[in-house]
Amino acid sequence: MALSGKIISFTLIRLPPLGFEQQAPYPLILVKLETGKMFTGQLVDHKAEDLKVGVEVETVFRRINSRETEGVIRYGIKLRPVQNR
Amino acid sequence: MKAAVIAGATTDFGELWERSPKSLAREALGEALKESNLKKEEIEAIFVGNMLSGMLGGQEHLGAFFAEALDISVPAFKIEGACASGGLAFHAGVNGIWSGQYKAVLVLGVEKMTDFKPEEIATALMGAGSEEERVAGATFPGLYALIASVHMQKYGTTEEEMASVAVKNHYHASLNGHAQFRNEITVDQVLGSPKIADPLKLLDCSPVSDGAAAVILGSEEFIKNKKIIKPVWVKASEVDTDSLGLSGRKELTTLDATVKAAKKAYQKAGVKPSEIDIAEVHDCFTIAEILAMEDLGFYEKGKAGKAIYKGETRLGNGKLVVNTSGGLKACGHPVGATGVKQVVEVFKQLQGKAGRKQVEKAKVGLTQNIGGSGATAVINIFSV
Repeated sequence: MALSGKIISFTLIRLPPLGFEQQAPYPLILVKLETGKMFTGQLVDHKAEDLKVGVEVETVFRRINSRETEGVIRYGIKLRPVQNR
Repeated sequence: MKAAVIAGATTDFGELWERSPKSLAREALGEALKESNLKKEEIEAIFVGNMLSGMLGGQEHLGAFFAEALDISVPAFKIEGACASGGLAFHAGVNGIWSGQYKAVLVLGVEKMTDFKPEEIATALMGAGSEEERVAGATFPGLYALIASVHMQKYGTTEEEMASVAVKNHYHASLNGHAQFRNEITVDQVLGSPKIADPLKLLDCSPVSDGAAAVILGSEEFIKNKKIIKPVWVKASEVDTDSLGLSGRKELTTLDATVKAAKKAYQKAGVKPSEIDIAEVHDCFTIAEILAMEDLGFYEKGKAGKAIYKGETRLGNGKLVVNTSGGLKACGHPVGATGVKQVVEVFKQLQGKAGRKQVEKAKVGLTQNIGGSGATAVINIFSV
């Protein structure tokens, strides 16, 4: 079940860690969830204007990366704007 | 029981491709011994600060590794706390003296980073963050960028104010023969440098560096017996922690671990922030020096950026001078060495041996070393 929240801070990662090279530059956002907790995640399925404080987002289960072509594919939680659902 | 720094030295910081960790350690210790007339046989224990030797170099077991390299067969320990590894190793060394266990100890900080490509370094450094942050593809510039954005929203801190931290620290580094970057820069150059993680640009970020720093600590009795002149006394050495990741923080514009450790340190040393003459603080990114100035009680929240922009903490301008070594930004940031280098700089300043970057009449000094995005803070206070 998805949790929703609002963007409280954002940046664009231009120099990524290993395994994220093909995605860069990508937005990293800090979100205050409806539960009151904060969450740090990558923003996906977004338009340029979604990258601002106050935009409503929700958690979504996504592929994170695969370090090698034959390696394990990692999955995890990312965030997307609610209006682009 | 009292403890004092009785010797300290650093190697050059920079891209030292031809140097091994062993040779850097030997040089740092050799320089410290030479200046102090101590013999290495007098050292009773070694505390090594290092973060990445295992992940990048495949070498762990650094206590015995450096005991062998330095040919000092004594109890030896590696202390790891991300970029605060050096500060934590110093804290452990001080406790070794304060407890009465040892009369003289070596604290060694060392890191080799520049033989690896940026993505490998970014990945290795993320070992200091949380799993949630690694899954998010976060980097340390990215995490501090998130902090910077909130500080800008809340207090109106500007990119120019952040840039002025780098400008000041490059000026100080221009007076430090061991610094990685000895060139002066301008606010416009910082603002025009390539973006790394908006709003942070290349010249807002400390570099990837190689280097080592060594400090020798002695007990009061040892100092008396050896007739050591001008010891620099450790008045307080305090550590505190916070959540590994940013999402666990109560506040995003304050590093709570700094606030808590500083409160204990000021209390123990019997010193107020206004009595500090010099400070070496953890400017891994320009926003981090602004946070440090506020969290250490030198400025009210939201006021530090403007004060730094006006040049209040620059050499020759004010009462408190910050990061005379050039800081992490311009002296360089070999992560495990940084916390020890900060102590070396304060030691030299308080002894009046800081050369062209000497702060006149410096009597009380402070170091602040941070691990991760604020999960560990080490605060030391010194006086002559």
